[in-house]
Amino acid sequence: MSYNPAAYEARRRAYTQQYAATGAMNSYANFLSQQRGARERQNMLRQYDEAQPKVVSAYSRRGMLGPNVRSGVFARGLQELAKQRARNLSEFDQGQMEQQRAYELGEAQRLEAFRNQLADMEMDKASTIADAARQLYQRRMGMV
Amino acid sequence: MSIADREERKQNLVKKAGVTTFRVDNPQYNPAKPVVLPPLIKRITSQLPSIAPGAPEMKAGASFGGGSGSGSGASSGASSGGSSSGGSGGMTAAEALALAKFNYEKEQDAKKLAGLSNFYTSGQYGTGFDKLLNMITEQGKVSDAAVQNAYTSALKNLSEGYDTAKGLGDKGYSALNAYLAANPNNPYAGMTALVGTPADALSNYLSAYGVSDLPVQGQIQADQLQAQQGAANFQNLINTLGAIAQQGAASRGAESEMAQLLFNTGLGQERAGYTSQAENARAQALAALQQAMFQSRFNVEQDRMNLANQLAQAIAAAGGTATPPTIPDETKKPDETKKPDVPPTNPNLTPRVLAELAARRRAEF
Repeated sequence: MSYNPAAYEARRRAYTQQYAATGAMNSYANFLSQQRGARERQNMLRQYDEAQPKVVSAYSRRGMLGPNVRSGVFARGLQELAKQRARNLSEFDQGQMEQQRAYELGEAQRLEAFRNQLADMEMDKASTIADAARQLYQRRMGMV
Repeated sequence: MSIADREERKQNLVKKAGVTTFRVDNPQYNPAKPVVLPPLIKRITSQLPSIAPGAPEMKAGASFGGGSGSGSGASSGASSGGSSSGGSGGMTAAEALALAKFNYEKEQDAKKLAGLSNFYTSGQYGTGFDKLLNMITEQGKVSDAAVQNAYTSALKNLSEGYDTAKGLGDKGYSALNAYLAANPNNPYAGMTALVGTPADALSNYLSAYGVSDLPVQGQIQADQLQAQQGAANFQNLINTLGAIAQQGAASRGAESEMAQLLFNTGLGQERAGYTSQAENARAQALAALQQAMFQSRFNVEQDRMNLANQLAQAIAAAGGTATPPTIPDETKKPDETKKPDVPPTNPNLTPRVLAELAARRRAEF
């Protein structure tokens, strides 16, 4: 086994290039996901914003809301709307956060694997250097 | 050469010269009247001009038969000489010639024997072997030093290689630890579960119609409470994940520390193994060197002993007595024998003295 520094540098470049390319792709995918999530969230908020007047007008048409009128049904309906909105937003945000965590976790694991690759390569290189040194010693002693 | 051989050789020489026996017991022999054998003298002088009358040796008054030299010329020289000539009385010229030749060869043999004996007894024959032994010893020192240098170099290389490898490995793990410290992996630390803003209760709108908003507020509070519970659960999840991430980071740090410790331990074990191998290699090399040196010294000593035996046999064959030289004790270590492995030589035993001793020894035969 002979030591070839160029081969290790080639491996290092390959690992790094692969890691960087995959990272860029994942990062872009994550960006798109965040962008899509933000758009969906905006849509959700807009829908609730648009729904709120309709809900109030509906209770008003049924006489549950008006001057000096405070119907308990209207109050529960409006609270239910607000709770639904908060729950949906929370679930959506939680989903987005879990997706972001998954992305970050994946990136961390990918970084760990990348560093392990480099560390394994460095260990392989050190072992190869040691073997080469031993073979050189054996050749010097005329044993090879 | 044995006595019997010498006598036989002497007889052969006399026969070869064609000399007939002329002894005192010959009835024709008259001491008062020298016998002249002109044909024989002529025959001899024709074959050996150096002893012919008029030759330089003969002008000196030498006479056949070793006489007193009272006469001159062939007539007096060929006489049997005086009875006091000592051992050659009654000897013919041929006999005298043969005897002179015999004596010459005997003297040459004596010189050869003396030289051989001196070469053997003085231990000079071992000089080359001693040089070889010294060469082996010196080469052994050089090889030993080379082995030691190789071992030292191997240890140095081991240490430097270990330091280099350890520095490299430690640097790698230091970089890892610095990275882990600078990049704690806990992305959940800053996360907080927030609760969203509660929804509007439309209080103003309700109050405008005189309707109480208390039920709405109750609804909002209930939703808020639910959101807070969700946030708390998410926060607990984040905290759990953060704690797991922190544990993972701590485990990773411990893993890095353990890996570095294991690396250093393994490297140290390898260094210990290599050091042991180097020590074993050095021990094997030294053992092989010692074995090779012993084998070389053994071969040299074997050759030395073979040569000594051959010399002793040659001396014995020549009629001499081989006095064995002082054989160096090769079982001793080099540092125990301060003197070189050369047998001691008596300075008084010069070649001339040895030749005289050999001559006396031969005279005893």
